[in-house]
Amino acid sequence: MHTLDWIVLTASLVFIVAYGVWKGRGSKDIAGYFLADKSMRWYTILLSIMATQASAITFLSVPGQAFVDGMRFVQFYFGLPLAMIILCITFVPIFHRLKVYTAYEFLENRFDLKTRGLASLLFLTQRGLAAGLTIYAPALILSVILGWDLYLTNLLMGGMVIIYTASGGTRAVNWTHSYQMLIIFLGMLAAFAVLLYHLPGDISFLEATHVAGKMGKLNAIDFSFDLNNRYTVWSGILGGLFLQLSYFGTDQSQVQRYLTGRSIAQSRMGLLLNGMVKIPMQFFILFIGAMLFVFYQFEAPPVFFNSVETGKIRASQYAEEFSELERQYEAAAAEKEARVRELVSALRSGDEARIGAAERSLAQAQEAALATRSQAVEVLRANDPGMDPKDTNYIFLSFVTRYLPVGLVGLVIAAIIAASMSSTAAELNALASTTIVDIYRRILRKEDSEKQYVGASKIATVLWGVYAIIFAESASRLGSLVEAVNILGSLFYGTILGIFLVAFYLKRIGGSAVFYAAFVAEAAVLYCFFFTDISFLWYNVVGCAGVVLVSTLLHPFLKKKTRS
Amino acid sequence: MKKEFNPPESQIEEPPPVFQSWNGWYALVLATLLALIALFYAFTKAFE
Repeated sequence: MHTLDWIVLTASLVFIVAYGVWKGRGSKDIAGYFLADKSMRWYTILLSIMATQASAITFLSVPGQAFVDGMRFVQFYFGLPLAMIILCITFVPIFHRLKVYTAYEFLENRFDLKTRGLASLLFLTQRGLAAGLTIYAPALILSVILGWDLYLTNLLMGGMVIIYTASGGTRAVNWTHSYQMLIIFLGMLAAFAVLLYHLPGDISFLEATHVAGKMGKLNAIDFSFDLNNRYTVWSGILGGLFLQLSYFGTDQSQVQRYLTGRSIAQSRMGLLLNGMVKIPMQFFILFIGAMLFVFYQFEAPPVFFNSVETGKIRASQYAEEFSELERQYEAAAAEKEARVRELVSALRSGDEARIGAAERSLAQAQEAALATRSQAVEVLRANDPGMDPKDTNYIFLSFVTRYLPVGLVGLVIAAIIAASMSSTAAELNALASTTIVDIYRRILRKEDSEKQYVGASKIATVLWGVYAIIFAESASRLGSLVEAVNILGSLFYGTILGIFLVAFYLKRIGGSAVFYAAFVAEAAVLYCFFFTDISFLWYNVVGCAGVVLVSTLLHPFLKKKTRS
Repeated sequence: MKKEFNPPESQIEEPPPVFQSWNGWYALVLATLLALIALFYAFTKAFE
């Protein structure tokens, strides 16, 4: 990177850490440390919710996903607005009126301590692992770009977050989220502008969009009903609703954000506006990926975007074979470019027959290029059998480093790191609050002073940060990161949501019934994961429905026991 | 010891901005979702 990029990157990160430490100073009790004394307004809550959900994975993996698979991933978010409405009607007023610190505290009010403990442990397991992934993603970028040791990069990334999250708690997390979102928006807009600037001068924006559409990258909507199809309108609305409801209603990293609202209205406004702006934001990020795909129709792309792997093979016995495949791929890309230009020319003529012929010809050229690429990946795997054959996560990064001007490279990398820091900070903050409020203060040390609880909370934040860094070290073989995080979440979210839905809507069912039902439902989810091809979005439905149904069936048998 | 929050009830029950009730906001969020799905469908078809 150029010196100016380093200055932009360092200044952005140092500012975030210093600002977080400064804004978070002075919390004397856990109400201040974990809930910012319930002082936040709707816009801070909105930005904090968005920053928590939009991790670096969003900006690294999502454009690459559109590049490879098209824009259909946007449907994944269709359940989110519905989830926001349900949360505002049910969860928000109850959490506010009960004055809880964590979502799981409510479960003891409603059921019993063991159900609260079970939900807390499921959350700590799932979120503890996910925190490692959110540190790993930008660490991977830095290690690839700068040739840094991945271990040290993870340590540096995690360490910066630990400093301000441990020292300032929720207040530091929420305030830094606002500035992190600003850096993220600026970075993504800059990348998009440069991408459009680099499209060939004789191709208009509209024509570029047509090329993306004709090559299957603008498939934003699919109304087909297929349980094995990962992203459709129906899986997005139904499966997505359950996932988002679980995430925003029962995941402490999000619940903690809107519990800081100074009133029910402020929390509701933050959530509802998130329901309106999240989908357009995801659409924009996916559209960047689709335009990146068009860009690489006119500019020969590397045969494989992970430069670490291509570097390895150049120093191996497969170097010559790989170079030959690179030459073939370059020729295939040139052939494809000619076909794309034919298609653009046909589109300009408006002649349907000519357009159809050009499309078929382009599809053949695309197939030939993909076949060569597959061969190259096979050679890469022969050289390094443990490598990840997917290079989705490197596509956007590769463009940034090769084509963005000096200064903007630093800004985009700062945006990606800021996104990672924002999610990790919220996760560590939530892991600490659950550990201290639901376990330490409730079970282990009931009579400590507020000062002692704040001290223990800071220690818990540091320990969870260290745990996340250790997990990040082993996260390099999980394929597309964004999917890995969502699949991991879906393994537990449905069950936790089921517990909460029974708590809210099935008032007669007691703690023991829901406790045993949660084990049965979790077993069903794990069965689906290990032994079926059902798309992960449906795990949330299985887990949630499992808890509701089994607890209803168990209720008559456990009724007396529950009452006694 | 657990600290209790005691903001005034008027602050907890603040009315929604713009609309007379929260139902107006819920309807707006739903309408936005439907409009986006329709828009994305038109977008998909237009560039198919």
